[in-house]
Amino acid sequence: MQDSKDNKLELKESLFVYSINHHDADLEMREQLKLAADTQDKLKSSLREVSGLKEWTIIDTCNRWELYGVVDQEDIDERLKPMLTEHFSMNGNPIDEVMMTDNESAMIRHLFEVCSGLDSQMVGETEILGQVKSAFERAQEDKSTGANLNRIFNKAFQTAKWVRTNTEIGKGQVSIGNVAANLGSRIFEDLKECRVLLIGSGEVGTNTAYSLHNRAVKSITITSRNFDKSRSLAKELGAAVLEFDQFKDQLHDFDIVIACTAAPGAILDLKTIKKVMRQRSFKPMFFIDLALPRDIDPKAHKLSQVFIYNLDDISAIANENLENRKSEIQRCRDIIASKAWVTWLEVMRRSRLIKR
Amino acid sequence: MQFHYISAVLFVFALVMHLLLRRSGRPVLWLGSYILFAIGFIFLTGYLYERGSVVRACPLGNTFEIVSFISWSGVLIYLLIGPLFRMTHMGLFIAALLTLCNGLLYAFPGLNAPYDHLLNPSTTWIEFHASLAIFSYGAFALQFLLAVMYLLQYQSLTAKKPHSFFEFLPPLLKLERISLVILVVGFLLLYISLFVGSFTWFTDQGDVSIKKWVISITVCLLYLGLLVARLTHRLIADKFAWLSIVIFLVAVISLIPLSPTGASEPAGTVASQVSE
Repeated sequence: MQDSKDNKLELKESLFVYSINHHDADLEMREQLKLAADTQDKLKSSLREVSGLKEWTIIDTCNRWELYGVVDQEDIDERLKPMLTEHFSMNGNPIDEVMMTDNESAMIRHLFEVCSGLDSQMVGETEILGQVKSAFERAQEDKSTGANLNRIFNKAFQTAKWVRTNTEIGKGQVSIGNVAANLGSRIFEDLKECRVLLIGSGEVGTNTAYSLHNRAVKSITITSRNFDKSRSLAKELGAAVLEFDQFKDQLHDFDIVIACTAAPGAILDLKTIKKVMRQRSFKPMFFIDLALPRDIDPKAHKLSQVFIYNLDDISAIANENLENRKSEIQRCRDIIASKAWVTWLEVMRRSRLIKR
Repeated sequence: MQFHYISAVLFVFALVMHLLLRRSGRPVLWLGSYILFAIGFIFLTGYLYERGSVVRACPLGNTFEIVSFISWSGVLIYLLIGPLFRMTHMGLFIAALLTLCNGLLYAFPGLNAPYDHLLNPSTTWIEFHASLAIFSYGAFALQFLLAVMYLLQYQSLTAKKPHSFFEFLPPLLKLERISLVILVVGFLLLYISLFVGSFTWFTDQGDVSIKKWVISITVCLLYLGLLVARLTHRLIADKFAWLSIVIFLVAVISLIPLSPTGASEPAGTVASQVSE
């Protein structure tokens, strides 16, 4: 078996991935990245002009920003990295965490692991697969993908499903909703009687609301800037809808608040939460902040009876039972490595045939 | 004393059972824990009855007896409220506290110093006053344990490290609610006791020392302040729990100078013979 470097020389087109993710970037850095990522139309225009970049797809979630690509020139890193570091620079400082992997099967393996939830902050979670699918669909709409990435991504989706079905990687408490519900039940006597407010209609927040709904929480209210979206979601959950500009006035009525808006800064500051706590006679309040940048001022966690958990906190709890699944994770990695190798060989063979 | 030993062993057994089941991740059977406490309680009752028969009064003559009486009161209240609130895991904390107390009592035999009950003959009302007061301490001991449980749960949630060991603890709101109920029970018992004691004092002033008065009134006022502050929402959550712990410790420490042996009163022969 040849090593990947030799293979790369034989292959005219090579694969790469640039990644900034939760492994290297903390929550504050990811908040800055998210703000920069929101302006990535400009970046996409720049990528289209990069010579030699034949195919590319951007995956942009709360925990990762990744660029998967196919190039037919070898000096691509010299041209792409300065562009990316400049785009993601924080207060003028370049981000060193933009890492490139140009080991071909390693890129495929990385994508497979991402889709299977093995590289997720909460190992084994399933939401990432939907997020990658959406990102890939957007790339297809932008016509930035081609035969190679189409094949690799479709294989990644198949592998993720295989891993989900044939291994026990998803066993245990791995969804944000489960963790949030368990934390809530350690604060409130009866979760069913809690009043839940969902601020924003993002996917992760919605899934969390579904988890609470499945735990028989009777009262769920939804508020978001998009009233129609709130209404359709409320219909599915059997929830109430609240006008976005009114939710702060009624915040004291809610025990659990799930925040997942796309606001550029905190929508609930320390002063507001202090006022709310006084209004509810300092009964405990549980905030689940799933937004990036964060929706709730983290300083409010110091207030008595205020419990704020953000994405990192919940992921850390979900991974507490990671030790028990370590052997299963290694088994999944081994399976994925062999599947990635086979996929890489297929892509290489196909590329050679095209060249011939 | 054999009754006391047997009850102590049963409480240790309850503690070990709770710990082993927690460690293995298996659920603690509520009935199993309840039965152990109930049998332990019966033996502890046997010990107190035996001592009461000898001293012909409520056995509160030395630290050993006072602690045993408080333990008895606490277990009785737990047995009464346990089925009501389904507080299985509270058994772990009660068993731990009882084991600690019994361990200290056995480690320091001086705490069971003999005393002469005949030096301070008392009336039925005084006995009633004393037993009610100590019974209220049993309630406060449970409230102290609930405060400890609350703080463990609260700390693990605020530190965002909800370790699996604390996962079994009841929710914060439940702990606070039960704590308030027990505080009210303890408070009522203490005030009835104070009323009975005052009534006796009015009829026979010379028998009650100023020291006893000051300590009793201070403890009563501390618990009154705690209750009022909690009911008016001026003191809640962790601050309420912390203050509950501090006041209970003050109340327990204040018992030392009030006990006959703690006050260095002369020891007698009758009690000595029985203790041995």
